[in-house]
Amino acid sequence: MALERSPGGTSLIDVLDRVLDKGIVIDAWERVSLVGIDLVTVEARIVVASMATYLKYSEAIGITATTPVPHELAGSANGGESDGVLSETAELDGEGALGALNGDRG
Amino acid sequence: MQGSTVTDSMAEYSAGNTGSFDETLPTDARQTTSGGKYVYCIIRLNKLREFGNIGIGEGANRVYSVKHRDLVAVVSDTPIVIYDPTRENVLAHELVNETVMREFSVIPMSFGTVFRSEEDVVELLRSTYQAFTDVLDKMQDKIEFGLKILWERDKVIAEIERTNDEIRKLKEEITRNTQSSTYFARMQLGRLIEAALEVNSNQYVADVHETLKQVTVASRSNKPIGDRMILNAAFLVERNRDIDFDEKVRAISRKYENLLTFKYTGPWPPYNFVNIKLKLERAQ
Repeated sequence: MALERSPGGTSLIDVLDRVLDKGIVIDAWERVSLVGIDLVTVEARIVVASMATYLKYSEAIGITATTPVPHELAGSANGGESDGVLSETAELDGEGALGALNGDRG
Repeated sequence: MQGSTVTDSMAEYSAGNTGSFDETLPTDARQTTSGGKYVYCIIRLNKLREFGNIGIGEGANRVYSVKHRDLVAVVSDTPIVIYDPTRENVLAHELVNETVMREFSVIPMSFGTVFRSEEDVVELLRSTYQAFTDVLDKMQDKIEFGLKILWERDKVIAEIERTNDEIRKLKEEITRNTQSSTYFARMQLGRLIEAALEVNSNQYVADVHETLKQVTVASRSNKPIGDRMILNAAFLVERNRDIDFDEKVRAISRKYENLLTFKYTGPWPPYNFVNIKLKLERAQ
């Protein structure tokens, strides 16, 4: 058989390949503290650190194993586009989530 | 290892934040509310909705919705625990996503995301409303398919020896003069074959991409796993074109029937096409 077709959830490897670090990922916690998110109200809130969707067709002709993703997300919208990948970075809160985090706990 | 560049660069600048917020937060404040919520995915929906008793964890946990404006987080109740990515847990996560996906365009959450309370889930939706809305617009009616291509190296080599004059002649020469053939000639043959293999691999992959391009919105190549794999890709497809995509995959696999094995999975939520990293920021 040169073609094997299986529905999504039947191959554990293919599932793991997707669910562990793709989609919406809550970043920057160790898993232990992840469950302790008491995020809202007073102390902390969730912000979008980065966001990228890959919609444009990659120029994959003749290239075997390159990953068509921008190398740096932050401010790379133009560079990414020239690689044939549409990327965008959304910092919703605009005021430098990074700075806030880094300076956060000294 | 997934090893995508995006993930790696993310990890770098988040490294400074591994400390827990817990220490300074009132940890008991939420314990009295409705308990933890495991979040599977985000969809656009203007009302509450039940998805059946298919949730992760012990027992058949009810899967339902937590709503903010026209966004819904698909959740089930859970104790505040860390879920190990066991077969059972991972498949439960995926089953819910697939169930929801039958009717809705989803943005999948990565595995194991537990919030402490329903209010926290609402806060997630509220604070990321614009980002999720943008992504949902882009992913509207789109699904993902996975395609891995493995080759039969021996058969490809046989094919190369049949079609490549230089290699064929060199090989014949070596076989003819077994006694006198030099080490160098054998090395040379090996090098030529390696180079030809790479050329062929690139040709196959390019041909597959070219064929599928007509019926896909986007593609992403991940790193091939193991020696036999020459392509490990995901394709984003309009939901109503899944049959076209299927036909194209079948056609291209017939074309290379004797040389390549196509492993084709899906439909999936668009995991490979959505990359949203969230983190905590201290509120002022």
